[in-house]
Amino acid sequence: MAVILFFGRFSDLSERLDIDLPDTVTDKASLTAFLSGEIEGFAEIAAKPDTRISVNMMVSMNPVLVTNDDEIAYMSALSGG
Amino acid sequence: MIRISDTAIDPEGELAAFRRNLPNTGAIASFTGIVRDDGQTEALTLSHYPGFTEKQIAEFVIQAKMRWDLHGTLILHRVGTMQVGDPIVVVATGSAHRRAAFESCNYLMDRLKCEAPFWKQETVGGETKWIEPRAQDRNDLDRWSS
Repeated sequence: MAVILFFGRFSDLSERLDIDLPDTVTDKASLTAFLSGEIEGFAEIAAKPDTRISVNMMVSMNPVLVTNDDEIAYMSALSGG
Repeated sequence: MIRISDTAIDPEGELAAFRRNLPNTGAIASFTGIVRDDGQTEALTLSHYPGFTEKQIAEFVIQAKMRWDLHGTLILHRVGTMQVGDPIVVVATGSAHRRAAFESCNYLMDRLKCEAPFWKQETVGGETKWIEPRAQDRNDLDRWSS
């Protein structure tokens, strides 16, 4: 079962999902497409240029495979300090 | 040291302890960020991604140590709800000379502002809104990319 975490603006939509990923979800892009269909308002935030997605606490601009063993986090624009 | 906490920061006490642990350092620079009173803000609430946020900040420290010869670094960051006047963040760096201390402290603060996994909400008039980095914050960060 994959764990999906939501931070920043994403947390207005959901805090956490523990789900079995459907067969159509194989990477970050297909997961984002899946969640966009499941959660109202998700696609709009996901499309923002400052959005980051981590897989097992690693952020990469490259396509990354996702599986049911992974922790995936959706993060809107970061703002520390 | 890197510490993220939902309890109040005591900047003076923390900086004194940092200095005591660096007895042979010639220069210590520090920055304390405080919830400012702009006449509207009632509270500031910060959240983070436990584990990942610390990991990212540790990477910033490694990169700072590759740029400057540092004897020590201190990064303390609040999460949770803060009121006007509460310290949000303390950054301190120690080095042999002032330039390395000043610049590394500045660098770490710029990285924290735009690249550390924190999220900030401001409460005004009983309503909350997300705060995101300003263009100036991004320009400040870009200074270090060359």
